[in-house]
Amino acid sequence: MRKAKQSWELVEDFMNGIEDPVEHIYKVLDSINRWESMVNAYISLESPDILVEKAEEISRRIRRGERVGRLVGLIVSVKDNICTSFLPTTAASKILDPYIPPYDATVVERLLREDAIIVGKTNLDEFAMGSTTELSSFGPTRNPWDLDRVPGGSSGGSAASLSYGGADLSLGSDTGGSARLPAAYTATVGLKPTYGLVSRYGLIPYGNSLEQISPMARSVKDVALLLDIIGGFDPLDATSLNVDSLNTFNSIKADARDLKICILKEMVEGADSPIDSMFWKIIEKLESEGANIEYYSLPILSKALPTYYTIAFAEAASNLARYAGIFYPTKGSSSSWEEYIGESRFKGFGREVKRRIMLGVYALSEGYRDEYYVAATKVRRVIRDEIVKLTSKCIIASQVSPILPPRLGERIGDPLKLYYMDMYTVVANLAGVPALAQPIGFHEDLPIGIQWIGGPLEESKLISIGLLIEDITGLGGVIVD
Amino acid sequence: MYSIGGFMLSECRHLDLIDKLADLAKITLSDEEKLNLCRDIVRIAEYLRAVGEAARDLNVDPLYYVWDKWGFLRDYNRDRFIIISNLPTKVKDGYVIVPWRGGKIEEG
Amino acid sequence: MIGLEIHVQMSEAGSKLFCDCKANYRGMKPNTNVCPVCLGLPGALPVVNKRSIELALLAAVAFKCNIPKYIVFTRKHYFYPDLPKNYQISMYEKAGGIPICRGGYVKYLDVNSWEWRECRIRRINIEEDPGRTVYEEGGIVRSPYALVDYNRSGVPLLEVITEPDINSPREARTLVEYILLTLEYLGITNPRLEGVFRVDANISIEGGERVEVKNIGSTMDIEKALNYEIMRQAMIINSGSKVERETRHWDAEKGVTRPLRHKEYEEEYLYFPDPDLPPILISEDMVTKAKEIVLGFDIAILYENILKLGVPRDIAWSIVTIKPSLDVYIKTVKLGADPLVAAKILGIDYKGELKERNMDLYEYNNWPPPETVYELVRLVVDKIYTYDTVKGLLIPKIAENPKVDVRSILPEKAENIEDIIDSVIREEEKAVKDYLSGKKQALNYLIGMVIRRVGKRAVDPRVIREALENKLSKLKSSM
Repeated sequence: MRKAKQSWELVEDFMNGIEDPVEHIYKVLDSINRWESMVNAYISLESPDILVEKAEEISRRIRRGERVGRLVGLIVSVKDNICTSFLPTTAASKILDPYIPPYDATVVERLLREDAIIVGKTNLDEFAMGSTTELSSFGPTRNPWDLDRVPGGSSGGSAASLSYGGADLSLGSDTGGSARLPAAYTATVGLKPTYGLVSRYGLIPYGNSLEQISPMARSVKDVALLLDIIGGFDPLDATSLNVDSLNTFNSIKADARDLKICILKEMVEGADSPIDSMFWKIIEKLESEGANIEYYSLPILSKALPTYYTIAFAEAASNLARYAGIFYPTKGSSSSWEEYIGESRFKGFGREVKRRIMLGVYALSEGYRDEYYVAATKVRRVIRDEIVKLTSKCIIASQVSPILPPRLGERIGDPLKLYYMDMYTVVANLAGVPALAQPIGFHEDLPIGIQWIGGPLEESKLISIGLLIEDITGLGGVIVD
Repeated sequence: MYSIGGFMLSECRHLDLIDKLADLAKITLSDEEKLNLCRDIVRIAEYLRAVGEAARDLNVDPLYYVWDKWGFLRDYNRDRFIIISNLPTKVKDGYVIVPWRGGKIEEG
Repeated sequence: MIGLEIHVQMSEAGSKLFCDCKANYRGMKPNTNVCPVCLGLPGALPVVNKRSIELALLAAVAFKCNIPKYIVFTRKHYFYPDLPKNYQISMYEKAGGIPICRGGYVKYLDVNSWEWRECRIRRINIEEDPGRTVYEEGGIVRSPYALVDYNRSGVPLLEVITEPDINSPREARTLVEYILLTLEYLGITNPRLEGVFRVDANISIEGGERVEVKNIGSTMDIEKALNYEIMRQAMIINSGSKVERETRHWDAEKGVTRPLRHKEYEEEYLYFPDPDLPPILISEDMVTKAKEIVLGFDIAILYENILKLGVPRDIAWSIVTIKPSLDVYIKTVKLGADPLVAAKILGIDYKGELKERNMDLYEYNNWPPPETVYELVRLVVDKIYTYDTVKGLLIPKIAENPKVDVRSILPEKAENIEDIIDSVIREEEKAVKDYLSGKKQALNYLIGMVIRRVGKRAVDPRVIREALENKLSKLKSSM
């Protein structure tokens, strides 16, 4: 393991002539060549010639003193459920293979406007439904820290691309922990924004009342840089919040003495002991430096996981109804309409996706709606109220994952085992509040992360405390060698 | 009405539920797939029942949109017309063509 | 007992309900009015357009509705080629949806009895139209392929659902015509656009089961379809059987209703509130603004105002039903024109002239400006020309070129008709003889002959009649 220069520093070096964007893209391409065949982080890659050309153009513009964007020269990978018109967008599903969207997601437009170089689309669990990136129709992604293990999911490709140096920044998505779990498993940083802070226009939907496109990077300040660019009001997304411009990048590192941290019993217990001890070590360190720690219990949180999955399944069933072989590539061969779409969907969807759709249909059907879907929305209200109330007083410290990164094949045999991996992360999605996952250490060379949960639009607070933790752990910018 | 109880080990007594769900979801399942899904779906549905029980004692309204804010109304933004033949879809005389009763569409 | 479900496109909303494609797609080549949102492409999101809500609110106010504080859209799932997302965004109350109108009523004019009737409105929803499917040989039953045009997908629809307060097919037709006229006046829709509205009717007779008739596409068909159903149901009852509860399809070509395929189970639509669309506030401000606009375009008030001027009911209503003619009429009367003469010109004779020439009655440019009509009225009132002259000579010329300056087309008045009368009397010996021997009708013939000789010049037939009678009686006495 070594530490790479943080991306925001790289931009400064590009501007000062200390670093060259062309040399940089070659370095990144080199990493990709070395690692990709083993890791499989990317589904599609932009052609190296085009990438080098872009870097050369940027170099020229910088030398000429022209105005350039805040992400100039940075190599960004984008999760393949975010629409790009210049690269296929498959959501890792056969039913969208190949599909080239006729438009760019709003966040992609914002990246391009700031002169980022988009290197490729990263692997994910099909339609973001999974927690290990093993359920992709393009094969699993492996964890660069240990190739026999998973990088987490569903934004595993994004996390992996960062951790082996195949990208400087990445866009993932987080519906129930999909950006935070991979961050914890790969010693990178992932932030799920406040619901509505980042436009979802162009994000292929899975659980649309729960999810947000999430900035991912190797350091907290890099995540802030990316968030400031992609966040903010978008008239093309009706759930987009009326926030004009963001400045989390200039958040000041927190002082432990000013910190009010709360720990919820249900959000820390049940984790394996190496994770547990690492978590408490950090908490003790913070306390010793003056932080105020309070302990709470919210019994309703024991229902968070099934509540989340009920809502997510219902929304998934609805959002995936459109894939019926008309605008999308996988087509059946039947010649009668019902059979044609039935076949298209059978061939195009993986088993987990089929499962979730059918459960979603069940939860929404007459006679079960009240007991399942509506009930879940009621429990959700209580969880949201409690979390919003609590975070008005303090930042919640929590585990990210109950287990260390599992081996490939360990969790996907039993769906419930897979779902349990999300037990600490779904709360933030249910409540709509922002949450940050960052590395705090290693156990036998396997990364361990911690999660911070703030109140609505308190991303700056999360960045502040993240910077402090990074200072303590020294793990900002960490990268596999 | 279909009732779900217990955890079925080797066989599944809820195949007609699976059939109904597959029909509503318009996914044509093979028999093997049906059995696989049947076991798992029944187990997961049972697991989700905890929510219904928890909600029984709650006296709150459902939460559909996580923030209690109003949506905004939009004025004209910009033309975003697209050319339909650029999509992976079959087109005839400008119309999108799909098999209805007997027509064949080649795969691809 | 008849109840109606009227789906009307808000064709004047400018753009579709959730995207910027055009609300009126007629004349566009198939699939050229589409974008990621109305095609439901992955990642595209709906955002509610202001204009559609404003217009829907006008309708809710006009029909005296109970208007909620906010509206909520829901998803209705079913699979069909013309529904790109395989769900339609509408407003289903039992699943958390909230419609723009939760109960109101229409007061409409029954033009057969000239009475005002009332029909309660149960609900008004805003929803998106699906695309349009065309079938090849074999129709919907056997066509090998379905061809879909998504130009219409996402167009904003108002769904007006009435209580079963309607008592006859004729009433149903009148009600729909009135509702469409109201929506036209409010600037919501253009009722004459092809396919801009469709009606589903529920009818039960003699307390029997309710039959739903779908696919009625014109106001004329409303009456036809319901009359057919009444006849069909009566026949069933007379033969001793019971009418089944079912849904039938109106075949306009054959003039019959057919049963639709029977479903084995109730439709399952998996309704739930659309997570992409937070509730929309209907503020007091919005309602106040809507009320002001509705007041200015209330056709009942406009109609009553014309009646107050002494205009007969049928002429007044004739003016109101054609918006351009009403606009011109009001302005003409404001200029000071005699309201009765102006009404006759606009409501009957100019309208008739346009009809004869197959010109579009609803096209503003086909109607003369108020100043022109004012002038015509003045010519009649000041007795410069007779009404018949205006009708026969001036109105046709104006219809040809409505912007024409009246003064340039004034017909020459026939001054010297004495000579013409004399020559007609001289030449039409038989007619003169007939008249003098007592056949009074022969006078009309003689008047006709004089008018013919006068040609394109203006002349008052009464003056001719008087002169002829004088000359002929002089002739008689000299015999």
